[in-house]
Amino acid sequence: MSEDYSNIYWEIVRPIDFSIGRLLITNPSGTLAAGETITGSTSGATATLVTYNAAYLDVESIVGSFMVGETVTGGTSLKTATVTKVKVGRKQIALVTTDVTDDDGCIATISAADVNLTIYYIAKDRLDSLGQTILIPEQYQMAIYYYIMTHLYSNVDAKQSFVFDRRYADSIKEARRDALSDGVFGGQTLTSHEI
Amino acid sequence: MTGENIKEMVARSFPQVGGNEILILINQALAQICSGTACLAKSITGSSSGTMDQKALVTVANQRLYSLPEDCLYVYRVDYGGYKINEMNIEESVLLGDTT
Repeated sequence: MSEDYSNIYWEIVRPIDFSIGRLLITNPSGTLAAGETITGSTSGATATLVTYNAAYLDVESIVGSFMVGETVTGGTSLKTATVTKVKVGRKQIALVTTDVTDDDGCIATISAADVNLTIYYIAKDRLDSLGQTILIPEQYQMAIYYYIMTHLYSNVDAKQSFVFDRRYADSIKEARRDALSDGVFGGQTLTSHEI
Repeated sequence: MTGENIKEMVARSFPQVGGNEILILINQALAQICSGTACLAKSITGSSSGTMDQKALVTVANQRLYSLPEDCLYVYRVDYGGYKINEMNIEESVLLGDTT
């Protein structure tokens, strides 16, 4: 049976949600427990731990600002870890519907619970250390090298800088063409249904 | 390929350039490449028993805002319960009296 969701819309909105985030950590003394409150030793910031990983803590309900270099302690487990990077702030999406007419004529919030959303998005790639794996497709990874060489040669050898800049531009052009033609957006309908 | 691999390649011509500078340049390049080419497409589906990012994408009655993954640059499609829904544009928003 086909569902009719033509009256439901999505929209990217501000402000960014600063209540959830990820703390990159090092030297954990043990496993911090999901659900416990963690506290920063210097900042006094607190948050609820959602997911523990030896490399990071996913947290929500953040109050205050965690600081790089401080120790965080689990309120229940008493385990500790040192914060190496704070990644806080998430873009938000709004779901609204037009099938309910409010007295003031405004669009309404979706009232249905437990419906799964699938978000198709373009992601950013960023390394926290040189040991990390680059996530962009392999065929475009050389563009990073070309970009760096363009930059480094710019003050010492203009001709070489130009050569690498051309290679970089060609790689970017190819990546754009691929994204539009096949495939970055391809396959997106395989697990979902068009209205 | 890792950042170290890039550093090794660069070091053949510029051995004096340090790791921190290479890391900054890599991230500058990645920012340009990702935003300029849309080459890193991903999808994530809400799950009440999944990761924090997945849990954030399960609807709650009368909750309007849902947080997107940390690495999200921009969204190009949203499915609601497995069905594609439309993006609200500014004109519709104004016509419908949305004041937020």
